[in-house]
Amino acid sequence: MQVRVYFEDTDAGQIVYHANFLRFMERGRTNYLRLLGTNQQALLNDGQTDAPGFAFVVRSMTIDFLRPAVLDDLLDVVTVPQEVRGASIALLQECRRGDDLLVTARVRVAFISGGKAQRIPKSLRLAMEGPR
Amino acid sequence: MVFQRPNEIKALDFCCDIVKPEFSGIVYHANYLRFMERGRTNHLRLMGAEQHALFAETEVETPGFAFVVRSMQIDFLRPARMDDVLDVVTWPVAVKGASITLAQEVRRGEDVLVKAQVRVAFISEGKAQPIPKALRVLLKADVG
Repeated sequence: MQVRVYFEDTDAGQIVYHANFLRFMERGRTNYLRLLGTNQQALLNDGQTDAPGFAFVVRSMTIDFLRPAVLDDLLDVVTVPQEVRGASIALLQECRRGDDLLVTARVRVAFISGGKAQRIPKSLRLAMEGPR
Repeated sequence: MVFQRPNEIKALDFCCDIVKPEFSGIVYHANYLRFMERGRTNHLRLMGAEQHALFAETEVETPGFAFVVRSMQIDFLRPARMDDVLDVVTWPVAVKGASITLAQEVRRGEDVLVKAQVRVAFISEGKAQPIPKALRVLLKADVG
């Protein structure tokens, strides 16, 4: 997924404010979920039936800020699932500018439904395990 | 991840209605980074208020100095909600030649909501530089 750096993303040092990479990566994760399988709508409906009101929440992140991004940069946000467990997923995310690696993050997201951690419905888990 | 006893004096109180919570009524995860940045700034400001001469000297030695975030490990343990009053506690755990590792916690009363370990590097004129000795000694004094 590509992200263009706008003025609003930068800080007083004229580089992308560190917390904004988390917003870019969130979009990367959302996009990743959207792209999972062609029958994603059906998959989400399945999820709704099995676990109504479900959502993924970020449990932990380990982030390395390697190089800064600046105004007008076009960044690639790459999202790769590392491990799919019963109730959580570990993802590897990278923000790149061309061949330069700017930010790497390992993100653990938990599946919640009705405000509590729940097992990921099988259809969703299979879809995530599939493209690895 | 090891967390040491925080320095309670450097707690920073604020109300999270300053920052718009997301639709679900809980604080958006990236916003904790903004809270923690304020905690770090406040930590430095409190140090600077106590040690004004030293910071002025550092500015002469290494003009335009700043600390930039190099890496973070964050655990989001519980959500914060609209109108919560949070404490951000910041304390240094390690001071190296060109970087500092800080521990930070975001708390609501007794509850720890988010804990993080943050490595910040010292830069001057756009480049990583060794932290001037006087400042390093001062930062080290707080490592408990």
